[in-house]
Amino acid sequence: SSLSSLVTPNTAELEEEQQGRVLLRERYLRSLLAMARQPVSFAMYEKVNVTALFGASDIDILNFQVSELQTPLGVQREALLRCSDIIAYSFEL
Amino acid sequence: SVGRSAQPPLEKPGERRLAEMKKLYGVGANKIQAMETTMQLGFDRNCDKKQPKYWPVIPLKL
Amino acid sequence: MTEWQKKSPLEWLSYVNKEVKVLAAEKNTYQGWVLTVDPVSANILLAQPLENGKMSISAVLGHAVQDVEIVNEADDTMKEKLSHLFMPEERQRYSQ
Repeated sequence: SSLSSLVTPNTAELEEEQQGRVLLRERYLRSLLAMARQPVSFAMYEKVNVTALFGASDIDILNFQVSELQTPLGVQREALLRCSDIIAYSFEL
Repeated sequence: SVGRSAQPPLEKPGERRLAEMKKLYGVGANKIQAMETTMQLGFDRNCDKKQPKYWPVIPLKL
Repeated sequence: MTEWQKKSPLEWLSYVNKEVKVLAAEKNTYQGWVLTVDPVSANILLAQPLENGKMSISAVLGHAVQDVEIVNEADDTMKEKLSHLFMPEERQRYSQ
């Protein structure tokens, strides 16, 4: 009969999930782009807190490339942070 | 593997097939893949240029 | 994988525009308005308005999220503010 009856509920559900995933992912990727060159604080495991200028993330969100990392033992000019070491990060917009 | 050595990763973790992207993102797959490609290129370029080392050298959380 | 990491995109979407308290690893807590949850990492992105007119943006990494409690729902003004933070031209499709 109607076109919509050709679309199974499963297809509709799948499309809704895909659209949701697009919105969520796009917003997150844009936030990472907005973070470039900003000072960011990182709360890491073992109560380690550091700040750095954010550079970029890989797309699997496993590594953050940062500059001017202020560590408890001094400044490391260029660094990679493992996302698995990080509990949370924050910056101002 | 990624996350264990003191060197930046050599392999490019971002190489996903478009078919997989289509399954995950449907009609939005091209848009997301374009954004991801731009982001990964920026990350790779910065790593090539700046040669960052992992900090801390040993992961805090295994 | 934690319960939070195992949620579906539509479940994560239901937290968008809600004010939440996040309990994270090592007893850290974070509060703010949910901007998004990255479907790849399950990182939860929060916004908290500051007195100086700026926004404090925080993310709790998906692997470190232990509990997320909804404490408030955004009014239209707040939804507007949140949707414009990173995506000025976004349509308001998911903000009921």
